Amino acid sequence: MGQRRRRREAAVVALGVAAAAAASVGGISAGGAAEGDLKVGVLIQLSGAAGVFGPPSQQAADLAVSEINAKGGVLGRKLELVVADDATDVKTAGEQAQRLMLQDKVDVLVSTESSAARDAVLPIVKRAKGLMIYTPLYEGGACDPHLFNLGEVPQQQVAPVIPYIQRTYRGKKWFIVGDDYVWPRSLGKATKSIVQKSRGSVVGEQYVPLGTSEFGTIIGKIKASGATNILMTLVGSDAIAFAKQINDFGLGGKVRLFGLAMLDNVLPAVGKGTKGIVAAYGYFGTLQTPANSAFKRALRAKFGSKTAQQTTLSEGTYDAIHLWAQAVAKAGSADPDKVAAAMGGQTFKAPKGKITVDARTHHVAQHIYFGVARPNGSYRIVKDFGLIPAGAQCSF
Amino acid sequence: VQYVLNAGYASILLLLVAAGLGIIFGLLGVINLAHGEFLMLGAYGALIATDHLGSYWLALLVAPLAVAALAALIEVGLIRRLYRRPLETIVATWGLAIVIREAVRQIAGSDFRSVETPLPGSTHVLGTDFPRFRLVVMGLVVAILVALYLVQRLTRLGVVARAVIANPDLAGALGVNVKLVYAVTFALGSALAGLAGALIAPSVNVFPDMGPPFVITAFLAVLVGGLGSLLGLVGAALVLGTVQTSVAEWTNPVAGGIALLVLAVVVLRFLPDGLSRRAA
Repeated sequence: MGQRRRRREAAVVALGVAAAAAASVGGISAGGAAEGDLKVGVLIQLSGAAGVFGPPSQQAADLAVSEINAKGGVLGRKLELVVADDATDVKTAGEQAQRLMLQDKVDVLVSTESSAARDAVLPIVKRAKGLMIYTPLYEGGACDPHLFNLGEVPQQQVAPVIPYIQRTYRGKKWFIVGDDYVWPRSLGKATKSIVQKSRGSVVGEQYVPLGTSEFGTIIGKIKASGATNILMTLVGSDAIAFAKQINDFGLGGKVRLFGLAMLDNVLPAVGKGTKGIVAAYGYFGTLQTPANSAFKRALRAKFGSKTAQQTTLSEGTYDAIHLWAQAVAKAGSADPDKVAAAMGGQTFKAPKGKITVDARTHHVAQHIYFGVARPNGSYRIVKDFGLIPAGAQCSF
Repeated sequence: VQYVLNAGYASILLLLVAAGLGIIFGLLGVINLAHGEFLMLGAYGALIATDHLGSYWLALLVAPLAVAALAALIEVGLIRRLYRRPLETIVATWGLAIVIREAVRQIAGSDFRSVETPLPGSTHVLGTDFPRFRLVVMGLVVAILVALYLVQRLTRLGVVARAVIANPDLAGALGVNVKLVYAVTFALGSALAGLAGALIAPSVNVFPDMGPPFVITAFLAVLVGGLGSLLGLVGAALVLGTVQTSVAEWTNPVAGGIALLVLAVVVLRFLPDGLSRRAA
């Protein structure tokens, strides 16, 4: 009995360790910096559950920095890139932000992470009196004098798209499925009011723990609800499992699956069953504009066969560094307060199209495009909703 | 009715993952924290079979065998040195899990990969449409576990295994090659994880970090089921799978996850040795 008891205790310890194992720690050390260089800190997800999103961001950041340096840097100073990995873990994000701000003393921190990580990182940046640019699409309303947001907010990614889907596909019944954390919950709320205004109805709303891979029960509920459209705020592997199982259960192509985080580098993993999947972002890898072609050519020239598929997340990292460099040049200084003041009104001809930073809201106006998934795992862009402002996110 | 099938499918998958874990735990006293990584390797096996060998179905053979071979090597090289030191095996297998995960990341990248469903479409069963492939998976797992049970109950191999569980020293003194039994058991348990990975692969996505979420619930099933008892494990997996699916059906999946944990705590509070009082 004693031995068995001991085994049981060991088992309980094991359970704790297993739970902690999901959150292993990562970090990439900074290279030697020449005195007088300006430092750009980039905090991204290179490992862990969202590890697939980091590499394209790292390449985009690398490209932006080398482009700026090729033109002589900013204010006669070269830029140095410091990349840190948050390992898809909020606690690690805080530690890495701490390191970037206090040890590396970066002049700007560009964050391409989850909303939860942003909330952990921002207080650290504020305490260090630094400047932060958050690039991913997100729920909106993150306001701080030292924070700028480049990503799509619901007013951009959802508001114009819902009436368009209802019109184009002739269905007004929505079912909301998301992971259970701040971004999906907020998007759910925003979506409900947008659907109401568009005279549609929300017939169901379900959230699952991150890392869920089994959706039979929810798909049963979707079938029973008679929904014609699904608004999906599942992320990463959860989104893929859901999309595949929608197909397995025979709903593929019968319902519109509007995935808010089904990015260009996630879609291919759904396999052939992409029928019915649609998306709306400020940037698609398949965007056919001269600016995007030039962007992709430059990446190809720099990274060759290792070039990662760009997404709206990673393209934002590129824009953030260019916008910041422009603001530093305008301010004539890298002082965070002066740069923050100079950020407002900055315009950048990004791969996604022209973007303009609103000084009052610290968000950007951007084009929003609508894509329909093809069986080869890429999006065909069928509509440009035009330049859409971010709405009254903040007021400074 | 679809709900019954969903609950059944969830329970059966849980059972398969937990069976491998439970067999290793029950016989060897080793808590294999790399079980999820063996599952992940099985899923990559399905990927390789589909893309390079031409047929997904080959994976159901190749993945468990390959994982079993790797596990046997690991048993000889690492696990064997740590028997009767449960805490050390936890650390060792945790490290092993990280090594396997990162090795796969180095070789295959962290990209999300996909295995096409080998049997697309659904079948009309019991008055509802249910994916054909899932029905096949359920049948297959039940058959394998029944076979496993029969082997354990009716064959000499099973007698030897049970003798080793009951008293390894005495079994050794009676001429049983305990080391061999341990190695075979570890390989067998790991092979079940590999098989589970290959079976799960078509309905999820395949990436280096996919393992741990599957294993955490399986651990609970092993604890609730009681050590070394296949029947206890079946009961535990059925109860846990059904409770989780039912609560998710009636309310939402987050509540389902909570209900699962609460149930496990309650069972262990009142039945500290799990559903089966005695180990087999």
